Amino acid sequence: MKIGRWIGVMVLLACVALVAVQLRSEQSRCAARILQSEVRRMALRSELWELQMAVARLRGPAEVHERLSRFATASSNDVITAPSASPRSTRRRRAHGRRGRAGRHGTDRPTAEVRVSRQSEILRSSDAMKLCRPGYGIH
Amino acid sequence: MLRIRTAVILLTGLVVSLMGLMGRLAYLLETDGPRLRAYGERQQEKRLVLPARRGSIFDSRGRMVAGSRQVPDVYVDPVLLFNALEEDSTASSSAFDEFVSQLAVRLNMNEADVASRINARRDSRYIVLKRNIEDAEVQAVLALNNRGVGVTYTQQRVYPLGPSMAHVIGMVGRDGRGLEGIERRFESHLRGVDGVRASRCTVSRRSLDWNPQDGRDPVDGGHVVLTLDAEIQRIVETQLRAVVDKFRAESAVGLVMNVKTGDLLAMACEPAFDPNDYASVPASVRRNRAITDPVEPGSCFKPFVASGALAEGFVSLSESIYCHNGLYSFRGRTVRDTHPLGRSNLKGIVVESSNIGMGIIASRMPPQAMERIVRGFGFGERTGIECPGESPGIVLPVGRWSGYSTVSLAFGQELAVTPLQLITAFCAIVNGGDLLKPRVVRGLLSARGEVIEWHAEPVVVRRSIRADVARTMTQDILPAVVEEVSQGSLRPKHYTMLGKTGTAQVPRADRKGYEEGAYLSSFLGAGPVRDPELAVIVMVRKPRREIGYFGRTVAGPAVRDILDQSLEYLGVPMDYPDGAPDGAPAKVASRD
Repeated sequence: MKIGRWIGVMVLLACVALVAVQLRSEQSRCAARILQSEVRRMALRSELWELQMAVARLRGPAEVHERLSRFATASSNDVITAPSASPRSTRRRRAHGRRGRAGRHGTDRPTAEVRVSRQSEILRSSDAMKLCRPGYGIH
Repeated sequence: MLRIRTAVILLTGLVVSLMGLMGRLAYLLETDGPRLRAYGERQQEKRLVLPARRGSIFDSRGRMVAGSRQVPDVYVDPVLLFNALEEDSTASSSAFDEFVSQLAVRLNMNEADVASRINARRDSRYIVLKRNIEDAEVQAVLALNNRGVGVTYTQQRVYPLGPSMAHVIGMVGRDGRGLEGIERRFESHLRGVDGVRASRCTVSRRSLDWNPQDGRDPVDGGHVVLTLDAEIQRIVETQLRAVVDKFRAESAVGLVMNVKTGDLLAMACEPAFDPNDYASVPASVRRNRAITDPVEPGSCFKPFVASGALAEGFVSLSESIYCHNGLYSFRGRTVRDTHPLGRSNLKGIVVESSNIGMGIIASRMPPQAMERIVRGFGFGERTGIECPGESPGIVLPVGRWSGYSTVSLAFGQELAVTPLQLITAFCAIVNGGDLLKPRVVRGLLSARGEVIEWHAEPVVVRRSIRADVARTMTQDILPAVVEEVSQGSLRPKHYTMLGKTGTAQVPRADRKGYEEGAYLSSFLGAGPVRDPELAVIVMVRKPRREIGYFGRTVAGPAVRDILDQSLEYLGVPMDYPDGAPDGAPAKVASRD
């Protein structure tokens, strides 16, 4: 066998060896990636569980009632601390003319009696309980 | 010559050494082979545990009342920690102290405490330093970049509604196993099976390959759906808390049951506890007293005896019975009525809650008939509810009855029943005579939500009384108790109600007589009268006598409000949409 052929065989063998090493290292890398994915999946599952717990807490009837009572307080304060005008509200004001502005800060502002009556309406336990029934956004 | 001899000696030595080695090899293979092989495999194997989630518990409307989440714990491996510190060429002699100081600051822990915990178990490979740490703490610990310290995730059981339903749900221990309540009863269903991934790894624990066949996926636990409704439960708990506070009572129990199916919609005990922190309360507070503690029911028991006597013909509705104006002696034992009564019929006796009247009716009954009536309503046997630890109550066999027992039983003495037994039996009267099996579990779901078991149909245990007798009790006698007993103050705002009050004395701990001034105030109610949907019981133990102790004043208003709010919540058509009519009823009296 001539030297050229020997070199050819040696190069071929070297190539086979290199490919084998490459395949092996790729396999290891894939294994590591799969394990990383498993760990990531665990982390995502954990995050999901955390969110489910948060939703469960928010859906609790006691929590719903507390929010409703907070909402009632907020609605009475709402007329006192009006938000600053935004481009959208300006457009609406233009469209509705002077009445739109008055509705927020002017003569349409609810009187104290109206505010109290609204608050007591919201606080009525029957209303609060309706929100806990199916079909009212809680379920 | 010398060379040959030396060669022979060397060769012989070599052969002997080889034989010795082969012998040792054979010995190891024979005696310790499997262990060493497993040890080697373990060194090369990396296992990743994939935790299975414990199933959740939901109320009847799908609100989660118990769920699981993963929380990070920080641990130390002292062997790896000291190796890492030694390998670090830049580390000073006090590297350990510096490291502990950094770790303690990051975990907001005491430095000396951290050091002593690590030093106490230097040979250990796993010391948990702090559980349930914050995300910021996780990042801070990982930033230390020491392989001797790490973060591991463990499952934590969470009860999002806090103390609500705690006595029914129970809780889970640190090992993840159910300790009490539904958590314990359905442990095998709720518990999942952890998954595992195995791969070969290098000496630096880097994965080399991974075979899907090695290991298994996690199997999450199944879910449990309760019959309880968190909103009705909240209503009951709010009322119980208010009653206990107002009357400075020792404890209270409240139950709401669907009279047509036997489903419990609420089961509450006061004082309550938070299952998220169950270790902070004594075991006595965690007991579900609605099923574990039998009590003498007192006058609440009269409707059962009255309906039994009516059904078996020991009394008729029109019969007039002389009640001896509040004082009478049965076989040498004196019985008193709080509110003296002259002549009265059965309805009057029940409405006025006359012990003497009931005693006279009972004295006509042979003991066997009385026992048949009592046991027919399920007293003296477990109801079979899914909560563990249920008591059967105490109903003595006829052979152990005294001559006075039949009379005592007529007004709820000489027996002990659980609140659950009472409301179950009351439902039998209210629903037309069928004793139903009470239940607190609607069904079981798989982890993916597929139905495994579903209990929608009521389970009839037996027929307790005839339908016509049940109708008489629910449409005539028991509504009169509510209407006439307290000038209409027990009348719900939007619905009609029937019921029976009870004020029983509390037996002494040594079982000799009764505690002075200690009462059990109860009220059994149901509504609306035209077609009862719900039954409610509230039992208040040891209210302050000077504030009030009659069942009608202590437990009655709570039952009225629970029934009113629960029926409204369920959307049951109102009897009085604009509120019940005012004005005193035809006959005014106060009876217990």
